[in-house]
Amino acid sequence: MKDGRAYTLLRRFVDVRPDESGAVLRFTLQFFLVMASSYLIMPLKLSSFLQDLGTEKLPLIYLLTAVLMSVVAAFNARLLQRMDRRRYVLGTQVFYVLSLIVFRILFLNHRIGVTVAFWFWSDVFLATSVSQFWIQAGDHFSPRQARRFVGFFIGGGLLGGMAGSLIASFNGRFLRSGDDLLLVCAGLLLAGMPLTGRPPRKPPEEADGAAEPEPPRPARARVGYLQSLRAVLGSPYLLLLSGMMLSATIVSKIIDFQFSASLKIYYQGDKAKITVYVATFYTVLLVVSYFFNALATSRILRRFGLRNAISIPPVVLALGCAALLAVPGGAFALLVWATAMRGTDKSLSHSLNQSTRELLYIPVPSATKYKAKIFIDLFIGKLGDAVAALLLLLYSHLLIPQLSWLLVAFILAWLALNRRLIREYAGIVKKNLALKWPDADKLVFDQIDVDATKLVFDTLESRNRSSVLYAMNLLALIKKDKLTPELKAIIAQQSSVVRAGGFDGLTDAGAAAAGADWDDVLEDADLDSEIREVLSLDVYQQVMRERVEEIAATRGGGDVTAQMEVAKALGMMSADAPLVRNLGRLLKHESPEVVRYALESAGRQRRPEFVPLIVPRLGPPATREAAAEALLAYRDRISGTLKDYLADPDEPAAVRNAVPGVLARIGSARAAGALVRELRKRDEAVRTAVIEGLARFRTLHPAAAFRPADVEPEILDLIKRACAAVLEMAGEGSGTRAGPSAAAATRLVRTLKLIFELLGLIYPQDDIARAYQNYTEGTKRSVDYSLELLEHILAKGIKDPLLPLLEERPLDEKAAVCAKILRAL
Amino acid sequence: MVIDKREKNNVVIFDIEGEIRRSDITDVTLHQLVKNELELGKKQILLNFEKVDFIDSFGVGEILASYISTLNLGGKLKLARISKKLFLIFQVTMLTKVLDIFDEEDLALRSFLKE
Repeated sequence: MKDGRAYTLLRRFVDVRPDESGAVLRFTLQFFLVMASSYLIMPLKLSSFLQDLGTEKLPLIYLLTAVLMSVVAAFNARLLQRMDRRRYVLGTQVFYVLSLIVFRILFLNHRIGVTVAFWFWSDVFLATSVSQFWIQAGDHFSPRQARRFVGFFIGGGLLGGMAGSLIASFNGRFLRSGDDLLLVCAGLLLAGMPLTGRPPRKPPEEADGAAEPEPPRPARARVGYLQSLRAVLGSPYLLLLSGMMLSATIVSKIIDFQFSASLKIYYQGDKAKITVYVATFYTVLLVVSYFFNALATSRILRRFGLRNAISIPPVVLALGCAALLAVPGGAFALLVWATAMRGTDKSLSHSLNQSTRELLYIPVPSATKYKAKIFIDLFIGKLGDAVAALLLLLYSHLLIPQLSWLLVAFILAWLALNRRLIREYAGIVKKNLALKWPDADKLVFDQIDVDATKLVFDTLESRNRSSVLYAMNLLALIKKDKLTPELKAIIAQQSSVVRAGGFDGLTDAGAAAAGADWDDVLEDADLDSEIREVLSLDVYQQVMRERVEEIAATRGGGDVTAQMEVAKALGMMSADAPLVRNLGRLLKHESPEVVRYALESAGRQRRPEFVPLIVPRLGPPATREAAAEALLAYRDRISGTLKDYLADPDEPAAVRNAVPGVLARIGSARAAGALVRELRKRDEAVRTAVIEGLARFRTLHPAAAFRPADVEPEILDLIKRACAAVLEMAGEGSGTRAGPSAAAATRLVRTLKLIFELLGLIYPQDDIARAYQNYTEGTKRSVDYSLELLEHILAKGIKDPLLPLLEERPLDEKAAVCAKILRAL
Repeated sequence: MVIDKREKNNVVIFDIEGEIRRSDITDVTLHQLVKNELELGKKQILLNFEKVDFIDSFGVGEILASYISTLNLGGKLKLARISKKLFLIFQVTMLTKVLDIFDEEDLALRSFLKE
């Protein structure tokens, strides 16, 4: 069937995109055949065993199977390591088909050994065929896709199970012997072979989506059971998953025992009546499971997310245990309760439990998954059976209702493991999301000494301009202990220039001071303090007053170099020095170069009267950074003033938009409060800058905590804006059908960025950064992983409107979703 | 600190020797000596630092006070043979823009003559 027709058919039942429909159909059909085969095998396996060995040998075969399964798991792990994955899947299919034919021949002469071998073979077949299917599905689909499809696949599987059961129940009517079911099963497997073993269809660019690319597998690596076990033991996530499955299996086995024992008590061992009851039970169970799966599984997963859905089965079973307290005495009441428990357990196991379990495997790296999944499915399941069997033997003196205490204990363990498992799940998803670029603010903050770098540039720039400025900058470099050997070399080269330049300007002779050993002088530890002492002298202030005032008074033109020198020198004086007041004039200077030096000095002096002169300098790009640095020097006491500038609509937009960046760098509670207050005002003139400022705040001060109550309404407002942009792109918002609007598309991109920046305030910023980067720049697969991560970490109130907006869909579908979101908001 | 006075071409030259520091104040300071000369009508003063090993901010203050006093009386005060460190201090504090500083005494004397 072509993808287009498959899409038209499938979209009625499942949330599928056009390019996914072929694969979804193929996988559904494949699982239908797998489950039909399984439900053909199961009754035959049980009836053969009961006929030849009886019920009393069941615990022994459970234990034997558990032991043998570990050998199979080891062998299977080796096969997986040695064989190409496609050949492995096809090879096992061929093996099953051939062995079914062999068993059919062997069953002609019934022997106990054949029955035991068939029991064991059936368990291997049931476990591996289902495991293989989910491994292939996990390889092909991302977690996000799987979340949409897994319920549909399971539905297909349940229908397959029903078909298999129906064939089995009518076998006497249409087949010469019940054993011919083996041949029917072989036929189903052959029919399914063209569907299996296809390599995953992944676009070539997806290779860059994974944060941890899998290393190439050695062609002849000898990895066996121990390595598979180590793979599980080496991963806390897989270990927790194994523990969770072990608990679930033990719970299931105890419930199964309670059900069987209740049946035996009520029907007093009447085999025919028990068979009828069990057959009816299975028929109803499969139908209920199918409808539960079709109607509820996907909805539960969407509504509650994996985090909560995973705990629904144990909670329901725990409630079932509690209900036992209300059950009156008597064999019938006990059977009703046990049937309800067994039915609940099995139907959840067939639907929700299976879905969540398979979803939990999907983000595991492919190589590890292959090693671990079949091992867990084969060995842990059987280990659970064995542990349950041993417990039942140990507590054989307990009455059926009393066994529920055992159930409660393992249900609690199951819940506890679920809780820890889901915590690890986010980490596993994150490993699939590479951080594509570091945060620039953080990078600069962590790795670059901006002040020192600026000083180096100022020093080099000033060497040809002014010996005074050069000396000042050089001295500042030494003071900051940034005089590297490389810089020293430059200084040595240039020191004669300093000296000569200095003398040249003052004397006619132009002679240099004798000796060129300037390093000793520059490195004199007392030099800086001596200079400051000189600058503080009253007599110095007196000597320089006239000259400094004359230089500072010239606002335009004049000797710009002299003005820069004065601006720099004023920053070296004590804050109460009379000359420092001249900085005010220099801060108003027309030359950005003079202003830049004046701003640097104003930051050192931190006098309140300079603030109104510094803030306007945030506007022009040439002085913005220097003004920001100067304001930062005032620290938190400037926050209130900056808040007023930010809120004042009469202030120039450029100044207002620069203020959030400064507040972010101040990083105080007051600064955060000012930004949040402005955020909530939704002033369009500064909204983007405020959100970016808040994001920068969180980057530079990761410990800062913002209240979701302040941020979430703004995220929802931006989601509305993004939805409006989508509608406009689709031609619905603007009332025209002119096609996608570039302006709306740009607005959408910008709004999404702001949404993620706000999310970073109330969720782990690293997680949000990974999600955003992979969403915007990643492959289809990494986009899916991004959404999966968001699904996992965001609160319901945010993810419900946000994720449908972020999901990749055709524009018309997205517009419909956005219209729905807008109505809901 | 030892300060010797001599005169050449109508210029009073103070040859300073030793260290000029706050903790080593003599009975008569450099500023006082300069003022004495100014009161005697000598308005061309040259401070020779050739034998000065160390000078602290107090010493710089003495120089600047002498400079102001000289200037206030219409005189000229010049400096010769200052150390590299003091030159750097003067440069960073922009005093090189105000004070007349010379490498050699002869150059300083010639500059007085030119004026």
